[in-house]
Amino acid sequence: MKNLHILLVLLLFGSAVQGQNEKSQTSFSHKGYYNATNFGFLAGSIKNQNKAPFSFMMINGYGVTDQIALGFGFGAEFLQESYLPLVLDARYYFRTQKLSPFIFIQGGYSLALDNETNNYITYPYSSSSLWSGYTTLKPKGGWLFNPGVGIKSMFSDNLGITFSIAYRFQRLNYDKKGEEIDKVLEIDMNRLEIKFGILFK
Amino acid sequence: MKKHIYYLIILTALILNSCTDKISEIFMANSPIYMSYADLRSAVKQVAPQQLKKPGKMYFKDNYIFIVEQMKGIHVIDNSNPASPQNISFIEIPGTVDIAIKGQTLYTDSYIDLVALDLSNLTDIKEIYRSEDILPYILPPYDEDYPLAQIDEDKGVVIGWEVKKVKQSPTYYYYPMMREFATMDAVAQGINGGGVGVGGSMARFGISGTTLYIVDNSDLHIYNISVANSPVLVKSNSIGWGIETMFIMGNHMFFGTNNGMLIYDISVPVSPMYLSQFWHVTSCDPVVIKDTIAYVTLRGGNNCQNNVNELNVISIKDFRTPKLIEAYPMVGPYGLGIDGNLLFICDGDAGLKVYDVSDPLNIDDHQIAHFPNIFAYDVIPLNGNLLLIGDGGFYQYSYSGQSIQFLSKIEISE
Repeated sequence: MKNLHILLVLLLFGSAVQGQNEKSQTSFSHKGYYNATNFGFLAGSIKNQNKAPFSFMMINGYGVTDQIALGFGFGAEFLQESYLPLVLDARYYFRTQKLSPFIFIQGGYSLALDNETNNYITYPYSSSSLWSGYTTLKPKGGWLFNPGVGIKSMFSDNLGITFSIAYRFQRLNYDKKGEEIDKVLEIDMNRLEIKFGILFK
Repeated sequence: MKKHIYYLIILTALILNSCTDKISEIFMANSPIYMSYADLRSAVKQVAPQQLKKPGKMYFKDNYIFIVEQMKGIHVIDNSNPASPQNISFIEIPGTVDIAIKGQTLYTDSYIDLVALDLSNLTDIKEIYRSEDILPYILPPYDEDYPLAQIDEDKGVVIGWEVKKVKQSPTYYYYPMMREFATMDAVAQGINGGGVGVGGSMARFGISGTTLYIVDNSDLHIYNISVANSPVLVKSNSIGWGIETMFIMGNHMFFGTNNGMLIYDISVPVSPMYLSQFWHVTSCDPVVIKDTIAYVTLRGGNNCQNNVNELNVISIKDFRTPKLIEAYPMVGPYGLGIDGNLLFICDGDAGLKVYDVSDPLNIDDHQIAHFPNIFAYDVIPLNGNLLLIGDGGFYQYSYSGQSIQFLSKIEISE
């Protein structure tokens, strides 16, 4: 909550600065290189095992028009295990001004950084492949899909901040450790991704 | 403004609540093949004779023998000449395991239903009664190298399995009852008149007078069958877990359980009265009774989770205080049968053993025959004719005194 307050203050501050600048600069082009570094968490139901894991993502991209930018991103996420998400990012700014809402979509794959996990233990019934002795699983990662909306506010021509909310789908696959089979466990995470970030241009 | 914040909080809570992770398992499993309840209830029909493949319980009736083909139906065998029995027809009954006959009516189970068939014309056997959804939901044998996929009982009964990759949520759910289909049974009685069947050592169906008793793992269902084609369910009583077999003698009913033998008084047929329980080791316990002696075989190494294999001789002079008077080691006994002083025991891999039990305290000194090559599940010794079901097929022997002679065999096809 405290972070949210800080973010709102920063956004308002950014808007005020922009208001002063608008007299001299009424349009802002998104063309050219940019770097967006985002921090946040993946919120979900309290029924989930991992309720709000931390997420970090750095997007490096290029504004191909005044309003459309394409980029490639990588990051770190601490879900049930640690993952390295690799994504392609596309975003559209509704306004060619320093303060602008935007939509974005990301798709990619999360690479598992841990070699094994014991998070998923046996299920106490016989209709399962996970008997006693198969408590150790090997995370294999999985694909992700991440469409969302946000708002951007530039303090200057080169520095700004963002706030975004997105739907995050993340699949995680697991194998039995040491067994040559496709997969034994599949987790489909459905989360609300809430992030703020710093935008360099 | 305050109102909007409240709306925003509620909306966020709703969104977050719906953001649940879905966990699925993907693995090779026995995936159920269903038969709908509608199909199940229109499946009974008489067809051309078929070869025995997985014979189960058998019932001797006049010159005919009815042999259950596990979960599939019933073979009708013309046994006018025991040296040359003729397989004359097959009654398709999905899910059949047990049978009992009274007069011209055969009672059997069809998965969760009780079915009655009219035997008055053996060339035109028809279903005349069905009591739906009275028996436990059971599963056919499956490949034990793989776990079971989840079962949806709303889709129907499980008639088979397909081993394939399944994806399912690892949620808890009720686990249907397993039946030990390796066990087999034999029951015998004349067909004519109002003859009532006598349950064999591993029966779950039993008839006494005009009362049909059906026992499942925990419940005893009591039917009044005074009118053969319209049995009336009188009541279903819980009698405890682990019931394996039922045996009726006179006014007493004996239940072989996986941890002992229960004795009930059925002087009032619809109100069995508990008399006593004889505790012994956990095992699977077919029971036969002669006069005041009960013979019980304990078999370990199976679902009953014990390694004791023996024959117990129990005095039941006083039904309220049964006493173990002797125990004899066995290899892995299944069913047993008794006729006069001859006790026939299907001793698993050790084959068929025949004892003279005129002295119950020294039975092992009086083994009069041993057929090590016959792996048998159950026997009926009946008026000098021994009926036996084993892995190799359905066998008949004639016996008299200490002499036992092979008569015939119906092969079981692989």
